[in-house]
Amino acid sequence: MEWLRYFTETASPLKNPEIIAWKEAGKRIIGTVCSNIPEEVLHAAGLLPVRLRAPGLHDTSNADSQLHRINCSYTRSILEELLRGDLEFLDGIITTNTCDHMLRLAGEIQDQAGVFVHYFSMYHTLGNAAAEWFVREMERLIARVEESFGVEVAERNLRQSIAVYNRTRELMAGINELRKKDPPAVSGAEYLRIVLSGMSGPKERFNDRIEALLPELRNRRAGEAGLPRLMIVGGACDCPEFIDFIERKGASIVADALCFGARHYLGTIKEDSASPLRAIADRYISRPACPSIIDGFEHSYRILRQFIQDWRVQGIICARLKFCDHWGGARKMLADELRKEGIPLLDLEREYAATGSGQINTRVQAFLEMLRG
Amino acid sequence: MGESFKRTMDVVDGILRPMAQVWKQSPMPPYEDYGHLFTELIDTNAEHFGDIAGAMANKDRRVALFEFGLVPQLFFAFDCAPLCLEFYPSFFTRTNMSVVYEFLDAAEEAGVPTDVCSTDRFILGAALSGELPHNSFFVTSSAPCDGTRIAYPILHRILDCPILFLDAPFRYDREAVQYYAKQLRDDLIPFLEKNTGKKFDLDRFRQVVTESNTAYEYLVDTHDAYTVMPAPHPGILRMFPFSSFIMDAGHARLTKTLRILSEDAGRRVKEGRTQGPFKEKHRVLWVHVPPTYDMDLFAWMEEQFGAMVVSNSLSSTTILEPVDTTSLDSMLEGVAWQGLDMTMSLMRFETEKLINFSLDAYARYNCDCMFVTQHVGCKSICGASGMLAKICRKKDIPVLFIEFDYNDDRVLPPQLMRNQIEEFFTTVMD
Repeated sequence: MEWLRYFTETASPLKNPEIIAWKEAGKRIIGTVCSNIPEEVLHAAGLLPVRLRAPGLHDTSNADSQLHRINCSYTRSILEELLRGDLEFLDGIITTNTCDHMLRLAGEIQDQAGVFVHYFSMYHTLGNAAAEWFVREMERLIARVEESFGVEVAERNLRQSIAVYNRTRELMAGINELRKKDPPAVSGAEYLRIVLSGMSGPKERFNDRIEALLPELRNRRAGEAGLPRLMIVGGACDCPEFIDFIERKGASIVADALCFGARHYLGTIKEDSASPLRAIADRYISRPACPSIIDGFEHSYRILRQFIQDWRVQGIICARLKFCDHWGGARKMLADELRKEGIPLLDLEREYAATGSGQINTRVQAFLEMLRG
Repeated sequence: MGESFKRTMDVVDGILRPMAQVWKQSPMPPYEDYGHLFTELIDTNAEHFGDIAGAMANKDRRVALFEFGLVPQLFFAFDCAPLCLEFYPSFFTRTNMSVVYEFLDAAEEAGVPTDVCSTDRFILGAALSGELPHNSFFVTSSAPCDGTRIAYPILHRILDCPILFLDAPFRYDREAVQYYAKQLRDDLIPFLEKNTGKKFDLDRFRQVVTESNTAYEYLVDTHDAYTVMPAPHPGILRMFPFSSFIMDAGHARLTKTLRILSEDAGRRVKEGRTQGPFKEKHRVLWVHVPPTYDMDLFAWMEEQFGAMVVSNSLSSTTILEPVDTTSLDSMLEGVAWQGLDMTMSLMRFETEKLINFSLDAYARYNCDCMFVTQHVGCKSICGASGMLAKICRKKDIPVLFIEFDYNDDRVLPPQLMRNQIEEFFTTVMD
């Protein structure tokens, strides 16, 4: 599929042709570890934000001796890449405290990275206090970036970056619209490759590609009609092979609430706000909340219900990482709510690099048979 | 569903109060010389829970269920009976393990993953079993950990009672403390006014904070006394003062207890009478939480190896000053800081800060070895193990990492833990 080639190439590996070209042009790249980190601010500083991933990595033995086996495999994988020197192309890393795994990963990165590291302190509630905190944290991030890289982040730069990111999110919303069809215009695995591509290179070039792609996709049919329509929820699930594995069993994944998905792309930023930073904060707080947000479930569930309704979702797969308490708790609350509505949920606890296994195979198969009646 | 708070009061009336009497009338060996201190601590604990039972039956009072990240002065200012739920499991692990198993099972049956911290599973199980006190409300912050952040939203859905979520900042400067204090003023005080039907009384709050300041001075003095070698009190007593502060700061009963502890420690230091029943040979810093189900462990370590646990994370703070009572804002800032930087809230620290805090305590208490809990549900302390091990190697600090669940003796039974400790003292420290 020629149309997908660019997205596949930029979605894997992490150091893709766009990254290489950016570096060769003498420009700087900053890695981020969580969808809570406001990339817009880094973009406004002329830096290229790249969401860190570890495609194809299965052995985390170096990281396991630093973190712990009960830390999630996403954080261990990122640390493993750092320890192996696979992130040498980065000029800096922004860490955060979304969860305990991230907090301890932040410590390790600070200790081991040898490049610019900034700790971005996340809020854990919704509301005005959190928005104010988020603004202050962005101000601190800007100050550190300006000082460390000798750049200026002027208000006009922020507004330009907001416009670029809004364009990305509008275009991705356009692609998502096409997933409402039966069959959808893109499969779940194809969509995830596009998602990852958008986090792994310059946004402007990505926007151009998507803009060109959208008309081509309008009449496309990915797979058969009438397959069970699934939504996938969870945290760090960035493995197209895993999605493909599920779809090959005879299902269409048509929607998501993933960190590598809706949490990154949903919602736009008010462009005419008097304070661009406050506008950025408002968008982050109004998107589907990470379950680390202690009072965020009801808000997120409202959005999820809308997805279920609009994308005619028949079943949900919760692909949560092993040892992720936040998603473990969210899965329970989600299951309780969905049960009331008669929507089946399959709980798939998985490791970050897992593409499928005997047990997952059996459980997915059984779930799909149940959906088909 | 059982009768609310019945199991708790059964323990208070059936175990705690008789135990306090035993310590008073015929103190148990080898700690006869400290019997009055055990009596005082157990009595205060019994009174604390008795007060909660009283508030349940009093239409003019409410029970304030709260979480680490907060201290209780504001609750006392509104005449509430506070219960810090994080300490609730250890109340049962010390007295009736079957209740602990039952509550953990209840949470797991309801779909809470087994790899979530047992403290949070216990609290959820207690709620599902109807044990949590009624006539209550919840206030929780987003610190210190992932378990907290998932337990309380679930709890809110299980119980039909008001809840307030506060955002605990994961930064460690004055701006962060002020951010938290602002939420106490703008969110917590109105919440308490609404749920108690009482108007906030600044003078009453100042009175409570002043009382807690007195208690705090005793607390700090007592812990200063533990820097003396040999330490003036047995290790088991080190477990309680800070937890008592989190449960009762601002109440006169706590001040009295801490005064007795402080005066006793001070007197022993002054008289050069700090040697306990066993010769002190080693001083242990226990990073994070020692097992709460094996209260004999400390005496065993002292007797077998002369090893005194002189400090642990439940008995720690970064703050060495009382709350400034000048104004509402200064008091809220002080109370916010205590909530953020005391006992388990320290787990919200960045790894480097957490390690530096531990190293400072190691030096301050003249320790010669370190134990680090690898609590099987705590992603935070487990995630810090690599850096801790590295720094201990660099500084030549003998360290023992013990993987267990501090609430659940099925994960590492007491004898197996003792085997590890014995091996450490007979090989590394010999």
